[in-house]
Amino acid sequence: MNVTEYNLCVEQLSDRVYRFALKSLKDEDRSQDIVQDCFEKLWLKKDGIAFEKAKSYLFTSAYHAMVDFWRREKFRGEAENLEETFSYEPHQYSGLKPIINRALDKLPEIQRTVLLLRDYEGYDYGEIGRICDLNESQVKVYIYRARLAMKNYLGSLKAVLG
Amino acid sequence: MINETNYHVYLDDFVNGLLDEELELEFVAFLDKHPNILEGESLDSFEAELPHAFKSGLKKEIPFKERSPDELLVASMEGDLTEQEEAELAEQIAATPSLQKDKAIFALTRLEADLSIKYPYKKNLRKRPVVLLYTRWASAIAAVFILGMLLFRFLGADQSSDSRQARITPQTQSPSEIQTRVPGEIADSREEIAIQVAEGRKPTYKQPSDPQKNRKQENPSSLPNQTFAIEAPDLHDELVLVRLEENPDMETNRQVLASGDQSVWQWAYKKVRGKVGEAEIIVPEKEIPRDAANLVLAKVAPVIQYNQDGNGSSFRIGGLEINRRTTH
Repeated sequence: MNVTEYNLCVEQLSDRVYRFALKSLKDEDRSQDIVQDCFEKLWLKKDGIAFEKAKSYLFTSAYHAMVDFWRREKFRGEAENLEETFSYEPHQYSGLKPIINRALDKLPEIQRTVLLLRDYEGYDYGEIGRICDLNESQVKVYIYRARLAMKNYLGSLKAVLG
Repeated sequence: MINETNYHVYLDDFVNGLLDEELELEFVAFLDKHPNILEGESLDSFEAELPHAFKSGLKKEIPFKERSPDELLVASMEGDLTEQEEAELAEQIAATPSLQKDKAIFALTRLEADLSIKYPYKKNLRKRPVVLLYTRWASAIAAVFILGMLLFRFLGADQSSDSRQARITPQTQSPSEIQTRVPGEIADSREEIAIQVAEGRKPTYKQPSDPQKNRKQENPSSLPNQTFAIEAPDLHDELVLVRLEENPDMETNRQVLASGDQSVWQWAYKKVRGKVGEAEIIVPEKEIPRDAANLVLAKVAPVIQYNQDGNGSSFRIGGLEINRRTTH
């Protein structure tokens, strides 16, 4: 990859890696650090990375950085008890998006990550597996569990909100 | 027939689920009859995990009808169902209102990226191409070089002012003479023209020399095959070969064009830029000031490649090559 291609990666992918990290970590500063680290690594290794592989490299690096962050900070453990979601105040309802975001936040990291890669980036099971070091079946199962948990959460809210 | 003496043969496969259905049932029946036979049997060796790919190969797809509605709805969202399965699911959904509701809620779990979120320090991530750094260095070197040239010319002109009149007579120069002449003498050449114009006389331009003749007088080995020149050969009324590369060094082109001088280079570039390639053209005297080429060459001297051999002399600036033939 040459300098022009590297700069093209910055143009096309920095926002996407940032959104991926921000949605996963909910921490702007840390997400910005991750983007910077990932592109710094890409720059250092640019001679050995083909332009077509850069996106996968960046998302893999970002995911590994996020895992390190979760481990260090114990940012989030197992899936939280969805019972908590019933304490949601109906008067705060201001459209579906915040509720969907909240449902997403409730997911375990790995489920949230595979879902973001699937829906934001359109990766197939195999690509997600390579980024997250999972096999395709595991990716499929995590996506299923993530959607089911979100569906149950949203369905419960809908029942509460009428 | 599985019995007390040969059951070990089947035990490994039974634990790993590799017995066929008939043998598996027979083994289970054997264990029922001998409930204590595995007591004291070490099963540690069976804890080793099989590779996932191996297990996956053994697994069978769960039949469509045995899968839960949620599984089917998610599989449908992910595009994992066959056309036939999609059709069957659509029939089920149409017939079941609760499935319609579930499908609508599942659709909400499809995430959409918030495109308004941007990485705020993108500018810091960009890297400057190496060529730009080189250009900056080249520009700095060129600036120092030009400054040095100007100082040298002014000093040279002052020191030689007393003897100037003696050298006004027009002379013919060969390319080799141009190449070996010291830069300070250019001022004399311009002075000559200026004096002639000031006196109301028609300027007398130097005529190109006959390179064949000059070569006879000089030792050919003294001509450098490739070097960097300060000056270009006179080109007016010459047959020149102009060649513009398909992908010229645009930075150098811009650098030259930005100089604002009328020059052989600019003139030739304008002539051929419409059609990338090469063309043999006569450079008319009226279109090119006599020393214009020298002016522009001085400005971009560090990036000019000047070449002289038995076939003639040429110089290259970026993607443009101007070649003066020896014979015309």
